[in-house]
Amino acid sequence: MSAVWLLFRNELRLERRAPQLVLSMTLFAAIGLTLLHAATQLAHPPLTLVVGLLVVTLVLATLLAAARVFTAEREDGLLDLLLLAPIPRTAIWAAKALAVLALLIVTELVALPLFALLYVGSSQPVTPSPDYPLLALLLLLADLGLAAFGSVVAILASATRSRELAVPILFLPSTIPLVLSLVACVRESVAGGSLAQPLGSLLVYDALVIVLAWGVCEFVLTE
Amino acid sequence: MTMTSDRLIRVLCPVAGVLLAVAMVLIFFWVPTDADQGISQRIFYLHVPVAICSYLFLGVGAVYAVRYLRGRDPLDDMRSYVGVHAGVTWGTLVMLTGPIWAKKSWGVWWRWDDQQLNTFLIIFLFYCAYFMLRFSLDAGPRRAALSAAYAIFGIAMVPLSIVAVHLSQSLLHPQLFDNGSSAMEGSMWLTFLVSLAGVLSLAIVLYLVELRGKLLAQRIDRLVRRSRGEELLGPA
Repeated sequence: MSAVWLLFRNELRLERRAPQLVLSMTLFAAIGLTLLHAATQLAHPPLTLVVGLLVVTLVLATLLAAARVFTAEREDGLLDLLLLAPIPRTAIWAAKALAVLALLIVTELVALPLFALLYVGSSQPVTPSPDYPLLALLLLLADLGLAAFGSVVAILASATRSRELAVPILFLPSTIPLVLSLVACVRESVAGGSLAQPLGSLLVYDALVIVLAWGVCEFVLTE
Repeated sequence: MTMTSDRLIRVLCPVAGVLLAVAMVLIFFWVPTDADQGISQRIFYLHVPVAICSYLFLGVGAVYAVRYLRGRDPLDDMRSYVGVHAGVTWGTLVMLTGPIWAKKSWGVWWRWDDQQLNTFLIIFLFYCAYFMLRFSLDAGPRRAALSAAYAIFGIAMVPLSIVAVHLSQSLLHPQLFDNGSSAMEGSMWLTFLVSLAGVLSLAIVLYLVELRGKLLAQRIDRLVRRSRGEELLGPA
């Protein structure tokens, strides 16, 4: 656990010294939301649609993290040093996943107010207004799955010859069940239905991805 | 392994041929036309066995992926790769026959409110990406391990996709199997089972032939490199 914490702190320190990913992801989320608003241009769009757009923006922002988060380790030979260190390989993955999770949360701190500004506070607001605490909870649950699988994809793609191409192709198909579950949660909450099933699906997604990632990273993290 | 697979190929090849020929006769000349969907329902006797084969071989790919990660046997890696390849190939057939059936039954090529179509699409897309990963890595243990890891994630996507798509949609796929009892009559069941046995036999033969071909190519590659005095770089 201390190894995970140390590596995670190191990731944050590196990002604080030279903020690249956090700036790229927040800017990407802002551009994405604006672009999607321009593309849809619906008067009083339904909440499920705009939440879907928000989630897709965040999924695409995760791609930026997944494409970059293992670059230094591969290109500068840091991975060899980490693998030689007396720490479990799962700790390396866990630290990366926590770093991606932190980046996603920071991105959402920018994206959610922007979402409220563009889609709720505009002249043609979304109907009905979102339940922000529920939306924040759903996004946090989605972040867990995105960060866990995004980090595995980062490991896989960093070993390939065409990392930039590999990341979206490997990552995006797996996010479809997550997006479906999250939008189903919002739809049920709007309809006043039970959230148990879609929320359960989201939780199972997170749990399964985390367990599998934990299980396989021992094998995929190689020099 | 080679002797067993040779024997299996020799036995299953004629069995597959006979079963598929019988299935064609049953589908086109014997089984009654479905009262609800008409003649288009006959594609069901090929579409569903092909879909079962696709899921089955994706499962085979995942099982051998787990075995590879546990034992590091290059043969398991090859079995896993050929399994996924077979699954995606049969999946391509599902993606071709499904919309044909949908067009005839519903008047549209695709329904976004259909659970089975969309679940399969997600899994199909996921496994298509497997090849992107595999072919952008150099041959060797690293490629085998990373491909195995991805294949394992792929099989986990099956229940997740089923649940997620079920939550987001209504169940509108043509229902030929009820809960517990079948909506099909005996002749339909028999035709379906013969067709399933034929397609499965053919799929197993193709799997074994491809596996043998890949292993032979690997051996030839090793021999060529050895004859050139090059270092053995591991399994291709």
